[in-house]
Amino acid sequence: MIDFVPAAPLFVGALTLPLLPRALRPWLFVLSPALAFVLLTQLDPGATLTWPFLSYELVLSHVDRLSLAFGYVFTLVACLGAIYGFHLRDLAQQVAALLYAGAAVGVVFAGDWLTLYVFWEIMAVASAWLIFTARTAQSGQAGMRYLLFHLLGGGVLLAGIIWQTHESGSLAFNRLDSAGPGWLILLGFAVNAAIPPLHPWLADAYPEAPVTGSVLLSAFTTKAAVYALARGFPGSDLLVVAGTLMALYGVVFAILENDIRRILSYHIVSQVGYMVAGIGIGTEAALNGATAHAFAHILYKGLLFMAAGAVVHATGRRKLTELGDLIGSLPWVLVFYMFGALSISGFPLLSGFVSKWLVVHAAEIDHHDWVALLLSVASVGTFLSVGLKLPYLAWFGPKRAIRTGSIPPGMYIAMALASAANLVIGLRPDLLYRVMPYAADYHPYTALHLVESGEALVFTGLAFWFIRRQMNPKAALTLDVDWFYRKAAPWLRRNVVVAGNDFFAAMDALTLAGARQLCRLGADPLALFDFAGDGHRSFKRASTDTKIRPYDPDRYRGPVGVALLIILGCFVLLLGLTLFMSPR
Amino acid sequence: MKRRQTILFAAATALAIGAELLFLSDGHPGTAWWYHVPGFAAFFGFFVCLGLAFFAKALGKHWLERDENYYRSGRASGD
Repeated sequence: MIDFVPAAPLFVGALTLPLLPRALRPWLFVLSPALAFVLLTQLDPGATLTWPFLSYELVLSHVDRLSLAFGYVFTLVACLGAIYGFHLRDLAQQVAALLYAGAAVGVVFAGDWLTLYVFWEIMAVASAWLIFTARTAQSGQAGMRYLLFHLLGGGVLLAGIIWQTHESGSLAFNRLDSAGPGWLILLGFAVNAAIPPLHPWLADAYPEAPVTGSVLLSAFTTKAAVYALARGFPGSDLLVVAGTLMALYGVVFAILENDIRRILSYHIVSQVGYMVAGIGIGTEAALNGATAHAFAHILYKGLLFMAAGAVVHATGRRKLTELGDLIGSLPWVLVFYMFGALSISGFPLLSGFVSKWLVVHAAEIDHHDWVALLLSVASVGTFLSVGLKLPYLAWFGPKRAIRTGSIPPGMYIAMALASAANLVIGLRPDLLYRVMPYAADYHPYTALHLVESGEALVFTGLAFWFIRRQMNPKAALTLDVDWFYRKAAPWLRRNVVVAGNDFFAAMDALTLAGARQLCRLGADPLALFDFAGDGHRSFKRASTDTKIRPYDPDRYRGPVGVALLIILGCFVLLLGLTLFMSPR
Repeated sequence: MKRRQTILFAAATALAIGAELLFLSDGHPGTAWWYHVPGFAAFFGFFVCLGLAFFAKALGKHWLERDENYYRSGRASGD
């Protein structure tokens, strides 16, 4: 039993920030996740916090080894992100960041579907808000597409949850089969995990976020989904295929990309592929691998986004075709970037080496040889794009007239700490394996493994050296699955929104005209036979005439002479009849 | 320059195959045939790198790459 929701320090921090003086906010921005991390270290697996709700008992927090592993790294990266953004004086960005981190922590400790869903949606809204805080036209547009995508995914998830609860009679967040409601829930998770073809929001929106925001975005949404998949769908064969394909998909698109943060975004898709494949394999070793890789990935990908963000912050440029020769002006950023780049590439002594190969090893020992081979292909592509192409072109590329601004000390400190974290995990993998969901019996530093991975890396480097001039990216846009909805949008707008609006406007005018006519007739029913007053008025004229005239009896009263003439006529008629019909 | 590159490449290949022959007897956890080919990882790294680069570039050139303002022209983005 615990007395608090582990995400509480983050939510309290987000709500308290606006009340503090501007100068104190960065401190609370850092301290909130730090406090959350410390509190997590006090939790023991098995602890729960329940809350009665209608006829159900909500499990607001359920602590186990899997949720703790994700909770540790989420709070850690939130703290590093806050140090990185210590110079920020943007309240909206700080509040959105803490809410986002709090919701992500809430997701990984949620013990029932409803709690999970609530935190899931807070995460979607807070992350979209974080993207909007860049306050550019592109961030507004990409953020809106991101929000629509995630609300749609959340809707599918909710439908699955309602169906699942109806069928099972329980809200407990347990393992599911990918059948019936499981399909909908899996689809909802797949949106956040960016499993192709449900991935385009990621490379579309993350590069448009503010630089601090993109560090946090790279950590939470996809990894919260990895956690949810690991809890709900371990051992699903579909995920083995999906994970392997997404690992390859990301690297192919990253090779084509020109925008440095889009390259890194596509590599999130690729790296999450390893985790999804590991979950699909479903053995204890594979689930350990998926968790370890998520942990390491959050640290090195956060570091890569920090370094790329530092380049964007200092130069105001983000495309490789506009960058080059930064080695003189940003050498330390390159050093820190390379810690992340070599980690993601699986270099010995760094975090990626001890996590990525754990997934591949799990595939090998479970006789998924083709999966292991294809994941190794993705690893080569990762080193090619992130470890070779990007630093080569940005730091050693052609000289350009780039004016570099200063980088705040907080950015350097955060990058140094993240680099140190990657190095420590690489040197002491036991520290990482200790927090895995199952006991890990894997030794990454065997002679054969070192030789094999060293060979693959060296020869990838040699191949790159031969083709380095062909690797120059083009100043072009790469089409992705978002083409379908971005191209369809004008047609849909024309044929659904505009046509719908026109139809409703016509119906509106027609209804108003009818109502006006009824009002006119209600006030003066004789107007229907109005030939005495203004004469016949067309329906159109009546519909536009807003003036309703009340009934006026004088309007229909004929002259006295007419009445006398009628009376005289009647008298003459009666007299004539009397004379002619009387007996003679 | 080309000669130096060729010598470097040949030396690296020899070193890779030699090192792997030395340690291959340790036994690989995988059972597929490629795990037991000396120098496989080196050739794999080299040719996969070339293959991926050219595959992606061809994909971009013939299918996926468009002008940077592709979505902005004609307000195609629907924004």
